[in-house]
Amino acid sequence: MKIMGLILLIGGWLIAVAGLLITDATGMRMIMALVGFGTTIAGLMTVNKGHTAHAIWKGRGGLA
Amino acid sequence: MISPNRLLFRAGRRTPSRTLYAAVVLASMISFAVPIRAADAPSESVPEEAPAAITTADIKGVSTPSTDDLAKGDPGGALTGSAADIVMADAKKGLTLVDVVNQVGQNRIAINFVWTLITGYLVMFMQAGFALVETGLCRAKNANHTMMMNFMVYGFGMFAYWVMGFAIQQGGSAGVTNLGGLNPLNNEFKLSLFGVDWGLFGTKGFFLSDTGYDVGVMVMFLFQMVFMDTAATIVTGAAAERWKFAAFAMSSMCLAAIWYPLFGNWAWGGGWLSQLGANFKLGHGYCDFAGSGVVHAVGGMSAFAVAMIVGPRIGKYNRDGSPNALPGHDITMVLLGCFILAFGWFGFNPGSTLGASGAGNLRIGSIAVNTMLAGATGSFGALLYMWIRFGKPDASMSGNGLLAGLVAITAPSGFVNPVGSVIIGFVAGFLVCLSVEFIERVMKVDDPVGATSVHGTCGLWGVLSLGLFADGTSNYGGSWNGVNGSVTGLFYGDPGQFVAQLIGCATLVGIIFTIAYVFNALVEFFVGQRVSAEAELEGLDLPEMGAVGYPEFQLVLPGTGHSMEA
Repeated sequence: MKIMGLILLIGGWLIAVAGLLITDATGMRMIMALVGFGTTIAGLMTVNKGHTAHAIWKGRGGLA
Repeated sequence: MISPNRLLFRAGRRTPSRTLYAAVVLASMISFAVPIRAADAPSESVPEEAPAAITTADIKGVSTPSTDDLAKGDPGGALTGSAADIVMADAKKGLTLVDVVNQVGQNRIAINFVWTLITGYLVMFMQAGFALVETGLCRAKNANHTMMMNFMVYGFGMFAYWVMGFAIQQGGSAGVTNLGGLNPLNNEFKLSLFGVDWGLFGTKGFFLSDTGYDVGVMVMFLFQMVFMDTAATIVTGAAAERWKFAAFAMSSMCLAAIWYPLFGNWAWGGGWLSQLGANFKLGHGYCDFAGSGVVHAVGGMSAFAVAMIVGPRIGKYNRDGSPNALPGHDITMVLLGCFILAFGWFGFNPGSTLGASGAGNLRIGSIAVNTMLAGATGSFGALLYMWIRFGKPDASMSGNGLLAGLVAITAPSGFVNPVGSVIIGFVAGFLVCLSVEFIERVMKVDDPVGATSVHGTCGLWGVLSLGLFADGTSNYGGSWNGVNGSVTGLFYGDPGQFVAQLIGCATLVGIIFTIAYVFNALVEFFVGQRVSAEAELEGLDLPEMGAVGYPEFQLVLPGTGHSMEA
């Protein structure tokens, strides 16, 4: 899950930057940048999901 | 449309005496104005002459107060500071035009040096504000530990930044004319890809040695160093009350040496983000006047990465995932800290002109007012949100709202007008409350001081808001990031600027978070980030620091009813 999140983070950035290279249209670049930024946020959530899967408060050790 | 005659008629009907008075005033204005206009108009018979150039002879003819006059004292200040105080290159030649011109140039740089240094000192004082806010929002049993993290991040961060961080960030930033050019910092490492140079990091100024031993470079170092330390100290709040001091030291030094300078270079050091305008016609490239992205979002992303890795405090979440409030111990510290930070922000934003003289730098007045307004509306927005949602005007969130507004206006402060600032600050005040709730309740990341929301979320909002609200009236020497004209946002006609800002945000989340996460995961692997459960329950003051913050207090272990001494 954490690795998947990191891939989404880097992938989102690549999408945003790829917009610069594949088109000169500002509107298209804006869409690519928005999609890229959204993907990075999804990556952030995915990495976090990897951490909360084994969160300390879910354990049975009385540490909640 | 109402004609002038009709206006006079209407006025006459209402107040005849005022009409008479107005007629007299108008007549006298016309009688004075006519000859003035005639004199102003260029005469056809007399050719226009260029003003005579000032010569050295003119300068030598300037009378200066005598020593006897000055010996009598100068209570009115009319005699002190005259041509006699201009430094002469050669006393035998006397004062020359060259001396005067050189003095004017050096005065400009001197004003800019003093401005940048003093605003840098103000930013340094913000460390005290952060220390108070974070310690106040933590429990008393961790006061020493939290305060020490905020205190030592200054030294740890500064050392790493001096060794390599500054060179990576600013090593290729020659051409800052406000500070005399910074010509020794003249080498940027670039990759040539797809026909474009992508500036990645600077290579001059390591240890401030060699050519880095330069007065202008020193001023730049001091100013940039205190900015970096602001980013580093943001992290300590998110990981407070369970972060191992050794791990904190390593993490802070890595931030100061590696990922903060990298993004700083891309945005401020002539790197690839700043060149999106010149290379790809996206407005003026990524713009970040004082660092909503460079400082606050970098700090916020790092804080989020560390908070995820360290995990929530014991007792923060129940087994069903519902959060518990773990209130801080001193709200007076929190609000005093917020005021200190708001004061320091007058160094942060207006100081980012790197000068007060020339090149459009008089905009410092507008930048300071924008800063003030956004902070105020940020606290107002947060207060309103909390009052409506929970029925009480929450003090700590009002403080966070103030900081959120200030964080958000940091990037756009040099490019927006007061109305834009008010909107940006108010939105940030709302946004910080929503973000705190989302991160705590949905993502279940424990951030005791709300650092991720204040600096991360609102930092990103600040970066985007520049791309929306920049009004195209600023003029810092005619260009920005190598693109002529003024920075203009989407609402004022330049969608390209908004795209550049979006790419900056994608970089902050996609790259900077990832680097911070990977480095902190390595620290977790080799050193371990979190203290033991026993130490956390006892409070970190004794186990980590060897002394409690409040020795006279009898601290009770939560849930046990036993005092620590027992």
